[in-house]
Amino acid sequence: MTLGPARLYLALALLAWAPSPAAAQRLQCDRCHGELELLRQQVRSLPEAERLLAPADVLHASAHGDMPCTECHTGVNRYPHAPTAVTRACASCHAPADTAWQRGAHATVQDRDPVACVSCHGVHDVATVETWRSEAGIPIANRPCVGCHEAHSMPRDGPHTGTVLCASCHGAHDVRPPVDAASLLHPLRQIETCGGCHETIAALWQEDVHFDTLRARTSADPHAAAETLPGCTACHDGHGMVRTGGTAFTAQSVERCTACHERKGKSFFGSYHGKATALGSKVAASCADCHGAHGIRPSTETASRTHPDNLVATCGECHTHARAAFVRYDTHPEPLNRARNPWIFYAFVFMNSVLVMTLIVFGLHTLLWWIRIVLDRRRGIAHGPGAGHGKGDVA
Amino acid sequence: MEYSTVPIDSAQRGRGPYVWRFNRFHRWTHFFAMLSFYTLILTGIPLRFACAPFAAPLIRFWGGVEQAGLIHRWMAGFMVAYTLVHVVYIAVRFFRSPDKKRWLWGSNTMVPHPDDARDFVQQFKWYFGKGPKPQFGRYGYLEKMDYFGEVWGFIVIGGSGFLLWFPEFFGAWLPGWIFNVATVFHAYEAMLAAAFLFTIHFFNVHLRPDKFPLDAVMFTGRATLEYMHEEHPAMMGDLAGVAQQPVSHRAVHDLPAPPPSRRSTMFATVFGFFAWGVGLATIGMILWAALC
Repeated sequence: MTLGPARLYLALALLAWAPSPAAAQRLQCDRCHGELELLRQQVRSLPEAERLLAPADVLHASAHGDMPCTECHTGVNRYPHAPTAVTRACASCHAPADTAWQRGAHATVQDRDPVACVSCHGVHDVATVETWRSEAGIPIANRPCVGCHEAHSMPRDGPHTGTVLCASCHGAHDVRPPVDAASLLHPLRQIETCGGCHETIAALWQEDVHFDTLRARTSADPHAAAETLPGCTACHDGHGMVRTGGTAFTAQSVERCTACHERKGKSFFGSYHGKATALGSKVAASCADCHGAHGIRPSTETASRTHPDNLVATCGECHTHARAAFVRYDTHPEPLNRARNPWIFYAFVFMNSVLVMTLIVFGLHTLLWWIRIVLDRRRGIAHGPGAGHGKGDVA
Repeated sequence: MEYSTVPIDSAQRGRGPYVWRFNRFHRWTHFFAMLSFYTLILTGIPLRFACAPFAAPLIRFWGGVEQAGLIHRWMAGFMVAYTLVHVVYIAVRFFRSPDKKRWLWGSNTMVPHPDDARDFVQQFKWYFGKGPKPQFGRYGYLEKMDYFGEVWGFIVIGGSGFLLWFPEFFGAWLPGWIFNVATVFHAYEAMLAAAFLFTIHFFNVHLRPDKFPLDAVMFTGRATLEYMHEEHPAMMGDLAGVAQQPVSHRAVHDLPAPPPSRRSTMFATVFGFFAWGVGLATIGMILWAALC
């Protein structure tokens, strides 16, 4: 009597452990579907053999764990498998995920097959959500997304790279383009989406004047273009996000603020703070240093960091001995705006007049001198040292 | 000097002998003024025109905006130091001069004089062929303009710069907008100084067709008698009679000088060209920045 695998397994089960019926069944299937070479000989095609490959250890490690093969594959109890053998839809168990997927952009992609469950989750190696959320699992989970959305891969050193799932921001099944009002990444919904992790910032952001603007504009025009709305990504970007704290982030945020607040940007870059910031200073104040980052209020409100009553404290964060007189410095000077600050205006006009008049008078002095010398030369009159006028033998 | 062609240094053109025009103290002071002014302008200009394309590379050259600021302040301190020494020097020269009236009012003086205004008008008359060229003394109105222009610039730029250096200190009792005003004064006076020195001073001293391309008298300290006769004729009487005057009445530098050595001529020429090259490049930067 030969000791066939079935008998061997039975013997093993008796000896050491009793596998569940599902596990026993998987091991049975593994006899063929665990052996690539065997499958290849049967179907005479390597890609087809690879498709049919389902080793028991892979299944065991997957989210489906100890589920029997026949849970998904019906009509395969016998060999050769019945021609009516079918694979059950994932939806038969995962109905809510399927419903969400049906609504999302992946179910309706144009000019290619829909992006189905297995496109992202894999077939037999389906990972658990816990695995995907682990530090090691995140890059693995994101790989199928990046496989299609190559142009949207994250920069190597981005703050979210390798630490955040694509799905955490974009949604898992009901994934939509961010411009879609129902997208998790629509500016109006970013407070929940980003705020899911950044809770304290989200709480501050609710008080921010930009959040007021965002709500006012979206309620006035529900179809307002997402790119024009001040949500989290308007300043921070999505994929190109720059880590906060460095000069690169300062440069980017100043650029973002001044893109809308053009006039304030112009006057800021006319001041020492702005010029030093533009040149990469690590200490010079930029927009957020005075106005705050989240929870910004207009300077007319007492809650504002830039309200006159709060300036001594705000400026004092850098200028430790700031007093009431000190904070009368105009951080957004407009030299040509006489009403805003007459003294800057008069200084500007006076200094420009001195500059222009000096250059006109002495520019003329220079130009006419030049012409005189050239004209005299033409008439044979030489000037200058060595012209022969001097009495070199005086001494 | 056996030059077969016209010397590059216009102070070496014409017949000799050489006379001292600037003593060692003058020359060092002028060198310090150049060194500090060039450094101050080149550390300040990228901040003033932070939007211009040259600003970032120039700031990188100085090692960042904070370090450029530090160098700027050290150089300002250096400028104050040699200016104080210069003031002491002037005071000593005045109190030691045997003839105070001649010191203040003679053909050698730096003190502004009604004749300077007359010479200025005369110069314009000469441009239009309405009279002879004005007869300058040792220092004509152009030299006095350069000198007192720097005094004015020192007060305006130095004063406003000092305010901006210690804003918390001055902001304790002065209203904060004083720093806005100081910024305007500092920036525009610096621009005026750069524009004046690198165009008008350069033309008057070096680039005028009759002195082109260089006058190194401030570096070698001496010029031919013919040069002095051409450029400063009103002091020629003093020079001619110098041997007859009692020793105590002569200015030390009114003495015949040995010709400058080849080495000092070479140094003066290279240094002079370098300085006016950087100066003209700075003017180029200001014009370039005007576009942004």
